[in-house]
Amino acid sequence: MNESDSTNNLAVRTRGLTKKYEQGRIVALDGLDLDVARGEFVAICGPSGCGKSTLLNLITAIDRPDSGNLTVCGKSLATMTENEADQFRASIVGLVFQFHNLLPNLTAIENVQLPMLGNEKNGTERVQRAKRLLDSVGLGDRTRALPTTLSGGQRQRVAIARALANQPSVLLADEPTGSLDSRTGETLIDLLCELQREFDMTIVVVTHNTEVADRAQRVVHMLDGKIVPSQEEEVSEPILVQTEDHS
Amino acid sequence: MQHRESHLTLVGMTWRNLYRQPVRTSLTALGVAIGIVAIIALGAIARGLKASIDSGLHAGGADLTVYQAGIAVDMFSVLEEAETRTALLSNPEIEAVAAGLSDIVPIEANPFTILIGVHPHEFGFNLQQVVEGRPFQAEDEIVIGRRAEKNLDKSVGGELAFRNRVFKITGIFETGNVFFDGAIAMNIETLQKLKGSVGKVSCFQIRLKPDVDPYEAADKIEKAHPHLAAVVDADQYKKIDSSLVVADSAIWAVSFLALVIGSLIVANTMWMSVHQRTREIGVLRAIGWHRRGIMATVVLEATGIGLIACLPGCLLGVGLAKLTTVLPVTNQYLLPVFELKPFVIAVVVAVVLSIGGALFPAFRAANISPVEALRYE
Repeated sequence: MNESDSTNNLAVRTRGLTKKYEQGRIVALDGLDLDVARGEFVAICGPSGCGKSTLLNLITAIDRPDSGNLTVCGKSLATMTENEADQFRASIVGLVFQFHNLLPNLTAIENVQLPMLGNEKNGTERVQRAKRLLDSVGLGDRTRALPTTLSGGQRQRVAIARALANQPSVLLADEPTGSLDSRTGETLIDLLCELQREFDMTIVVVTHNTEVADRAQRVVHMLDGKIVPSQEEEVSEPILVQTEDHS
Repeated sequence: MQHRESHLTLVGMTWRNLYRQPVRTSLTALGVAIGIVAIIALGAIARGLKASIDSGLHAGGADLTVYQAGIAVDMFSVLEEAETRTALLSNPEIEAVAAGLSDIVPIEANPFTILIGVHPHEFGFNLQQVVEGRPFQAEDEIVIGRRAEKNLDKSVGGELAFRNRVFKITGIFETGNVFFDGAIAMNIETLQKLKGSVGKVSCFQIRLKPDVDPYEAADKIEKAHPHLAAVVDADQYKKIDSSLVVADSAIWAVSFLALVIGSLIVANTMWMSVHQRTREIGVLRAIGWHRRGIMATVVLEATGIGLIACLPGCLLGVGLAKLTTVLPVTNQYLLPVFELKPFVIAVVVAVVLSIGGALFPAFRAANISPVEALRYE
């Protein structure tokens, strides 16, 4: 397999990725190289401040690297204009935050429709898609619920449905279980595993939680803005543990 | 039961934001409404004033009215009666003239009661066309307008005292003109004596012969008699009364000020709204919303506020203008006139200024860095 073939098979590819803050005094990413294959479920672990979230911000194009190359699904993010970056976020990647970040004035189904507002789908198609997504995250009966009436786990499920609204190739989650209790968090990871298989998506999860990391096909450890190579990396099927829904 | 799920639109999102913060929305809309009130109320009063002047100039079938030239306010007009009458009647285009003398006196609770003196045999303002009682005849007889009847609480057969004399009310007239209907009419010679202006009048109403153009006739009169100002309509009234021009300017100034204040209130509210929703804006940017989409939410919200302000603004504007017809001091001078155009202008201006007020906050919202916004607590 030549380099071009292997690059095409990658969802995320970074080379020498560097990001500094406060006029270079804080180095968040220090020449980071990372490959994530299409359809892979990767967990990025590491202590606070090691650069995990910065990496996620760069992959989602909500922030720009100072240097290095970053390609997501064949698109080079370094040369993107602001409008192209918006379009990229709207179509290529889906983002799940630690806190659900749902809009409080909108119902669950309206929150899921948010990313679709600017695309070519008409109103009915958007509603149908949102409904299907809420069904697939187990909230088909709570479509009209406002976020304040949902439990933490349910809100995070709505957030996942919202992230999937535009059928992204890559789902990125920043501490998705960080605000949930362990059992609810486990259920949420089950859901991510199911969705990965159902939609054949690449999932990159940033987490502190070793239980979450254990469920990924590959765990990438970061320290001081670099990948720590010492951990054993093993590609496997995602581990699906059946649990009760505690959300 | 199958519920129809609502599909999300920008307008729908905007409505939710406005609806779920009723106090903020109401107070901001009220700020914008002040501007609308100013446009509607002051505009209606100004139009009423002009309409009254117009109908006054043509009362009794007059084509134009002649005053002393070079005066600032019509009340100061003084003409030599005999000399002016002779000069005007020498004009072959003039069919008839009617002298008028005006004065303002305090009578009972009304400090600005208008007195109008006319000759009983002339058509002067049609004030002798009474709807109750009979025209005045003797020197101590007067007729009063319908509004004056109410304001002074007097009727036919009653008496009124002013300038140290007592007058008997013989009739009630109703011209439809707010100035005249709030006034008292009497023999011009009596008023000349009361005022100490024997042989002097304020104006002459003129009836032209058929097919004579009043504007051309007015020009000719002014050229032949430079000390006279001939007024055909309300727009020419500024020749003898600058107060209308001043009033017009004041109305625009007050309306503009009120609208600027409304616009600033919207700007402040939208700025606060953007500040409060920083994280929300960051989320929208992170899920792929374009800057123009973010701007649209802010501008639409301001538009919504402007539109919400229209109803109370128009109602309060009409109410305030109508108030002038209830207060005795103003109802003898003012009868507001409402037309569709000012309402349309007020609505358009309110919405445009609301949008104007929202532009800077919207620009700020669109330029919030998603990374910074997502860190915002």
